[in-house]
Amino acid sequence: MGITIKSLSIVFSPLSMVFMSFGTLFGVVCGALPGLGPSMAVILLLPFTYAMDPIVGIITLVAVNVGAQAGGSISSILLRVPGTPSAIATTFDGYPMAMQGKAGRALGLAFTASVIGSIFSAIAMLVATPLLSNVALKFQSAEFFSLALLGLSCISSLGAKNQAKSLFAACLGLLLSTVGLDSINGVERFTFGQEFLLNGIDFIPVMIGAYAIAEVYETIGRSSSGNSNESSVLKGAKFEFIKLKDVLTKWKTYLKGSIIGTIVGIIPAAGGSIAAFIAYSEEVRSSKTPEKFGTGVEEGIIAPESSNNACVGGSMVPTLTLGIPGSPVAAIIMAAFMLHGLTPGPLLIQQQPAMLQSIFFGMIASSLLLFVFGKIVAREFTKILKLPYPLLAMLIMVLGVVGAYSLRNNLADVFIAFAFSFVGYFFNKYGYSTSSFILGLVLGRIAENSMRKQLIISGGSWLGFVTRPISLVILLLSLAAFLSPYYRKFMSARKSGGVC
Amino acid sequence: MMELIGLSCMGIGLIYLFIQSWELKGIMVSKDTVGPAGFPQLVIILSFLLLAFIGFTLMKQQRKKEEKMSWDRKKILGIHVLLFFAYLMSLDLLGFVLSTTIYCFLGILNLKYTQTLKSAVFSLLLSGGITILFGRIFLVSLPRGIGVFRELSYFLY
Repeated sequence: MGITIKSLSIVFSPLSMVFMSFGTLFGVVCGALPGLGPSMAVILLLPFTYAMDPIVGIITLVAVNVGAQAGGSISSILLRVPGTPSAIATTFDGYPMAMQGKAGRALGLAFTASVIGSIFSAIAMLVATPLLSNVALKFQSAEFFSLALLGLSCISSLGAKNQAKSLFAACLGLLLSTVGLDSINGVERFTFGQEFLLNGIDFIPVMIGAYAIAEVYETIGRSSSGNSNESSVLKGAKFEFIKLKDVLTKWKTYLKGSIIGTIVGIIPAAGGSIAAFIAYSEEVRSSKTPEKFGTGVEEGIIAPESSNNACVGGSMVPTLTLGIPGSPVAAIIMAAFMLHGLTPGPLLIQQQPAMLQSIFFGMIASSLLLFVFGKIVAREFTKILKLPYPLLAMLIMVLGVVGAYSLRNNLADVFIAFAFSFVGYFFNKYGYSTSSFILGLVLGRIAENSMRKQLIISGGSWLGFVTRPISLVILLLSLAAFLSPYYRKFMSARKSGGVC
Repeated sequence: MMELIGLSCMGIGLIYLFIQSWELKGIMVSKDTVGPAGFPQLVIILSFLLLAFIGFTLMKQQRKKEEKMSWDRKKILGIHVLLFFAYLMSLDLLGFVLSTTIYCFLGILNLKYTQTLKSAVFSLLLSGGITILFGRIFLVSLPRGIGVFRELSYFLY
């Protein structure tokens, strides 16, 4: 009880609240700006925490992370340029919702889901830290492979209009993920002697090109005077607070997203983007209308947003208990611990008993602050939509260039974005799923590497994937997720007498 | 028709990559039965089968009338793409601020926005704003250009 009171007094002291508020606001802004993201936001604020009390410093950095994960949804929804990698899946349904004049509701849903995800993972972190860290250690290559397959399984739903085209797009994404140095043999694959391809093709420039720049081409091609949906987008662009009744009607989606995010966050090296894809796939799998995903479905925003924010708390579990960072941002926060003379690991909880609870209360406070700062930042961002389309188009193009460039301070990434703008334009025009393509690119490398590592571990035997219980369960779920749209189609055709 | 042409190009690209994949040989890791070429080859074969299916279905379908883009719109889009390419090429020569200002101004005019003064002010504000935000506050090393542009850029970011 004494520790709880001490933690509360630290977290809710005026100075801590000021730092946390600034951290959350800074995080939301960095998240919303393409090319920055949570890691950059935390790194930028890290030097300011040197002089702070260790606990206040750490909770400020956690607040930045919470804000940045949520902020990524703003540009995903409004501009189709994901602010952070973990907001990629939000683009699938967020942008179509904005185009339908529901941008404000989409933003409200994204922030509500982020708040719920963060709070859920904070509670999970406090209650089940030792247990969860043990579960995390059970995840090996076979489980990673199964997780990647689970993420990929929603391809069949994303291509409701034409399954073959969706699968083809996903295959191209998978093929693209093989470019670069092979991490097992060190072989250069499809690099054609180009140095910049050795590290592979990052999905951020590809996304910027295939989504944002291609969208500008398409709009220019449709009408020279600008966006036909402009007025309807503006009408619904005011940030909408989601009523409790609406939250309760979709409680399963919030809960599932939060659970998936927390678990994936705990697994070292998984991260928010994978969590968002898995949560999205699971939502598609369990939906009665999977064919509607990708057209502006509310669940398509709630699932990825609750899961990517739940990753924040999840990633703190192995960081605090085992000294193994659960994500790149957690690794930076771990560095902050060390700068303050603390060593994350089993002894930390004994040496700093108030730390765990302070992070818990800090996460809850910064999550609630998201509503305030989310509304403010989203309001400023929606003003962008009021610009005449020629100005808006230029803003998207330049932001896209900066977003791709700032990834590695390399113009090659900008040219990659340029090249993939044509791929995105072709895909949009002829009904290929750009989302499936991106999904393949993001998860391809994880799928291939973990598959090969597992084969090496199990002496070349494929049975290793099904003899491990967690892997088997995830594989079965993936199969069910992949086949469910086909099964539903078959059943509805049978009901209507189309199939005997 | 354009879709078929696009698919044919992709088909040729896939065949080329498949041939390339046979040369992917490195240090053999024991029990790595898939090897560095296995996964790409599997994906290429799958892609090719799907591509053949899509192409065959397209040819079987009656030719749908494609929505044709007017010549005027084609011209605007073409110039927009060329301007963008020129902008990317100029980034390493003129630096971020100048090339972005010029690109924005010309790009806006190309999209038939008639208010020239507003376009110029917007271009300046956009490139200046992004330079301050990313270059000064977030310390992103934006392209500086060469020669005098490089020297001048150090005053800004």
